[in-house]
Amino acid sequence: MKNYWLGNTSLAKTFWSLVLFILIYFYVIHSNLLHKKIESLGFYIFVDMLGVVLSFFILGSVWRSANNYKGNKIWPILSKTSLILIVIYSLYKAYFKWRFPDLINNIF
Amino acid sequence: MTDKIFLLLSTMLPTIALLLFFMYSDKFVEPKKNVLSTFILGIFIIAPLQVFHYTAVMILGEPIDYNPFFRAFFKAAFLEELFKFCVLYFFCTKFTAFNEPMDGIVYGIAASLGFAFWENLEYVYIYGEFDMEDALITVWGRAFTAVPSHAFDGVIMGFFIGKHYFRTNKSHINLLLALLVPVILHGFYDWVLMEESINSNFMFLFMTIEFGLVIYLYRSLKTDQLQKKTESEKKLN
Repeated sequence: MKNYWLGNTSLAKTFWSLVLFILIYFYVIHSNLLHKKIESLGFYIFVDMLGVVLSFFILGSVWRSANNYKGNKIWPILSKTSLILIVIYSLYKAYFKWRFPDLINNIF
Repeated sequence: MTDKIFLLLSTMLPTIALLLFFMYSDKFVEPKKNVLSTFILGIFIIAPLQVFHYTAVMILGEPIDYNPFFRAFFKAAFLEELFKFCVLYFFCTKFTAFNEPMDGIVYGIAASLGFAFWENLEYVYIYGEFDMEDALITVWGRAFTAVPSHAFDGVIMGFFIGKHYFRTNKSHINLLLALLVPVILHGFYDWVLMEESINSNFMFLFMTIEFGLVIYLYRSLKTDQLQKKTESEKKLN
């Protein structure tokens, strides 16, 4: 984990392994897989918060790895943009969707 | 029982996660015992804060304590930031490991999050009668608003204290800004929440200002850190 955080692993490895992990994480916690088995509000609040924490950790890791990348400049830009979108998604699902439901409904 | 466990974990997660994030974002990581001791001191700020607050209310009269402006700017902003300032300036700057401006930010965050950690516990477990759903919603809301806001204030204060401590001139302007800027931002943040005539969503405006300032200050210190590292590598070569 330290190597990921310091950006010492390759951009491709960092991006695909961590993004795959977080996408699976979000799929599991936001799908109906768990909702039928776990009814605890505290659990969902905690896992959503943890999702945000993990997103920021992955953002930091990919950002550093992208800064160290020496190849085509498009890949660091795409990877950073993807992670920003993942962070925004995690914040939306964990907080803004519930804090501003009317605003979100009006926009979408 | 499950909710109780997740409530406790949710109370602790935001402060600890933010602390670790900033601690390990520093190129030269601070000693864990220094950061931990600063975090614990941040928790104990509550004691002198309450003493000063109640003394002020005794002198000025009880009705002042119901004034949202007084509660926001004096109790919440000025007293909290003053004692965090004292922790940073009189305690943290004495560490041997306090050897670059970025360290001000790390210790600023640690002191702020220590206080935020205790405040979270207070709001969830101490204020009023305990209701599980209310407690969970309080923790959830504070994790995305109050806790990051405390952290941002810690970054801003730590930045200016770091700049003052490693200054090359005799000016004390950075010391003044270390207290003034967090007090103003923190005060306005709390005031819009406490004042009934103001839409509480304005707190997101102040959080955005704080966040923007934090990004700017943090990046400027990171650039300085990188420059110093490059210069020292050149000297070695």
